[in-house]
Amino acid sequence: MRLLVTAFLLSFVPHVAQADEVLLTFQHDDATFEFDLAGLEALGNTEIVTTTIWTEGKQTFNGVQLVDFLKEFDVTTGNLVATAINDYEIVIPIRDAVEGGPIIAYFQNGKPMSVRNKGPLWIIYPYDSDIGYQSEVVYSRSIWQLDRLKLE
Amino acid sequence: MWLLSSDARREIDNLAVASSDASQWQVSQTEIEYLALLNAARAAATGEESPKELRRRFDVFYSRIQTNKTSEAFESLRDIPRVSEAFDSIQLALDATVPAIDSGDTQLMDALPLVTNRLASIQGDLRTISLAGVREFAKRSKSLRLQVYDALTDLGWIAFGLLIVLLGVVGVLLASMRVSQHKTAEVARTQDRLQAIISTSIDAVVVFDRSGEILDFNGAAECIFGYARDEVIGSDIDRLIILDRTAPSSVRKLIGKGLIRLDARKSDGSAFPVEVSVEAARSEQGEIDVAYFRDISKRVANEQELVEARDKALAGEKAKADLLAVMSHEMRTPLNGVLGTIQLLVDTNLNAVQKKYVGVMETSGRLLLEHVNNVLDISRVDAGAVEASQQEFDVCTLVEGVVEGLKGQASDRGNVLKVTSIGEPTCPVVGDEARVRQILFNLVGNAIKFTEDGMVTVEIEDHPDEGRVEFRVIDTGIGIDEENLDRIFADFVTLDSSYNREVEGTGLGLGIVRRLVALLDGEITVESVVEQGTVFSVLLPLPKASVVSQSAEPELSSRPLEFTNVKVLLVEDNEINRMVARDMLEKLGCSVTDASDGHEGVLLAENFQFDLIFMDISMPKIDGVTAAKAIKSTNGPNHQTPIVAITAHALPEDEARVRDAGMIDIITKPVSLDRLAETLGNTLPVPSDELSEVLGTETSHRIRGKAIAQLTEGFAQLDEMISAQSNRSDISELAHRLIGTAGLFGLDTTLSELRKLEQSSSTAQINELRDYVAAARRALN
Repeated sequence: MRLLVTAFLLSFVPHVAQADEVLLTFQHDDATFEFDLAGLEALGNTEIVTTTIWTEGKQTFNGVQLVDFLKEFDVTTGNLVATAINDYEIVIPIRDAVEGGPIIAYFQNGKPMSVRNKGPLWIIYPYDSDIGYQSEVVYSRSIWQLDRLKLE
Repeated sequence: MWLLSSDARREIDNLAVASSDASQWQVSQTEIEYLALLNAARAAATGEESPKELRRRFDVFYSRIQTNKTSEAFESLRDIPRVSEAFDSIQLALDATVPAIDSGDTQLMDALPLVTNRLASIQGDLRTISLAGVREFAKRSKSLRLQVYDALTDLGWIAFGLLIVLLGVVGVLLASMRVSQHKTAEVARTQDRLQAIISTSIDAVVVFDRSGEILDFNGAAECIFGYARDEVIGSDIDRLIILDRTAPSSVRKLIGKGLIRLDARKSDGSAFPVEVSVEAARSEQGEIDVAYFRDISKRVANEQELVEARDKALAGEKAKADLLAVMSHEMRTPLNGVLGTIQLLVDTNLNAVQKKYVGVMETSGRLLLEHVNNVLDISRVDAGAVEASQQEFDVCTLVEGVVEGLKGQASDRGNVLKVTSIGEPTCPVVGDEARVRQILFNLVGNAIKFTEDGMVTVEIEDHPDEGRVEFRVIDTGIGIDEENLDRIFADFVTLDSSYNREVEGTGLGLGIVRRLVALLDGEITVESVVEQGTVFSVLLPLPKASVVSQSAEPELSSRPLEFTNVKVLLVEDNEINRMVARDMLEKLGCSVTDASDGHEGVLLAENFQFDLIFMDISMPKIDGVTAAKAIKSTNGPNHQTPIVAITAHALPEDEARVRDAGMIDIITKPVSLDRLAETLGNTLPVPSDELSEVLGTETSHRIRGKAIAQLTEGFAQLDEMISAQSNRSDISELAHRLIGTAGLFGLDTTLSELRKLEQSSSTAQINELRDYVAAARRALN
């Protein structure tokens, strides 16, 4: 019931990312890159279907694989410092970025995520596919409300 | 153990999977984001920050609350009613604020005080949640810790269990090691024992393998074969020890065959007999064979001696028997002459003195004959040449016959003879009639000899349930004193008595009785009181005759009979014997032709028809048996004539020989008139009207009745066969047999009807055959 109410209320103009609003800022070797939804979509669209500890039931996430994102910049080593809107910060080692690994999700169940729904960007690991992804470390790397990435 | 380990594994798995992220951090982060939100609201009100910031903070806080509400980690928290109420209240406040946040800047600024208030009101609920969270997560850590503790404890138990098992295994191993050590020691001991047994065995023990190579050779083997052990190890057992010609090609062939006798070879090459037994045994090297040898040279030598001794004994026995045969012939032949002539003399015209002398001669002759017979009897019984025969006879009749025969002797000495029977009268029994008669004869004769003017009683007592009859010969004579009671049965023992000259005897009478009683499986005992008398008890197994059968042998009266016109051929080489026999036969009415040797006898038989032939067996040149065979084999006129053998020999093998030659009866010398008459009566086919005369009315009636019964039965059978349309030749055969029976009894009409039946059997109609049978039956009745 509460869910319905929430959904109803959320249907009132929730702040969803606008078309060319900058969602992600990437800092790399003193260079700064800004991405909007289209820019991220252009880098890749990979789908992960999984359950998570923060949601109920199987969720479908679409986003660009971390590995694909980094390929754009020829990054193969190092660490990514991911920061969220609320200044939550986490370090993700580049070696996590593998094929079939984590994605920078921009769609949940086919729709963009509002900030209230942990959007606009959420790093999602394929938790169900491997028990190795079901650890506290991975959960701590599953940063939501992501807006900044920095390579170190 | 299994349960424990699976449990532990489960715990470990659980630990591997994190079902929550840092929950505590989330709780505190919620508070931080709330404070940030409040700050942003206040800052927006004072204009320090833009409403955009407020919106951002709101969204962050909102999403945080959503996360808390759906996160797995908070599930247990949310179950607490207080907490869920707090969440609901927070949600309400947020939802109420959403429209304002989502509206434009201006609207938002206007609504700001309201928003701020509302947001401030959340604080309490948030605190509740946070505090509950702290408690909850502490609890969870503790339980987690306990889980780990349990898992480790379980592991510990498993490890302990394993340790125990290991120790157990080690223990078992140690024990089995000890056992095997023990066993090894035992095996070693057994080994030593075996070695001792083998080396001390007095039989040679040779161990060899499959190829015949000798592996071991004990001390006894060294002795027996004459080799030292070292010389022989490695050699081939066949070549070394066994002689080629007697042995199977390999000793191994004897395995399991038990004791075999062989010739073995000593080291010097000489052969000696051994007894060998070979067995196979298994060892780690495969099959091992063991041969035991025993030197049996001594035993073989002993056996040889025994065989020789036995052969000698047998030869001695044979010599004795031969002596017997010769003696009996040599002694009986002249005796025959004496006694026979005396008998003839008796019937001639004698004056008183001559009669007296002849009487003495006869008595002496008879006595001599008795002695000779006794000696021969004893020798025969001792040689085992006699067997008890079985006939049916009547006990009372037999006893009476004996008594009758001794009446004269008894009255000569003033004795009275009596026969009594105790218990039920004995019906016919089965036993050796002649021998029983002899026993009684000897006993009664003795009783008479030792009694004067007294009484001799023969008591017969029947023991039917034992199948035995007891005879007691009781006399009132001089008796036997105790020390002699045992001696009297010995051979050649006569007791001294004052009546010496009258008690004649070889002393063999009781000896014969003893032997005969033993032969018949009986018992004999004697009791006596001097001057009062003696009792001899004889217990003989004489079972009742099961069927009262008619004796086919008719009993003849003792009167000599007339045999007129009977043509007899007498073949006898001894002149005296021939003369005696001839005269006797002529007395009986026969017309006698005599021949003095076998050759003449055969010649006469070929040319003239005789009714009966008496053939002496022991003749020179052609003996009686050969002559008889000759006569029987030719198709001469005497082809079917009955031949009776006369012999001085009395051994069973003679009887067999005689019967084989086709002779139907034997007379022993010395012949008597009665015996000749009896033989004539038995062997001559007698026409039926003479049957009654010969046999006596009663016997002839009996036999005739039997014949009639036979014929009647035969007629019935014929009828049956005719009706059943049996084979005509079978009918003819039966008719032929019945003809024989009818002929014998002179039933002429019956005979002729049967003959008609026989002759027409192959061609006649059924009703014709029936008619013949009916006619035959009528004639019979």
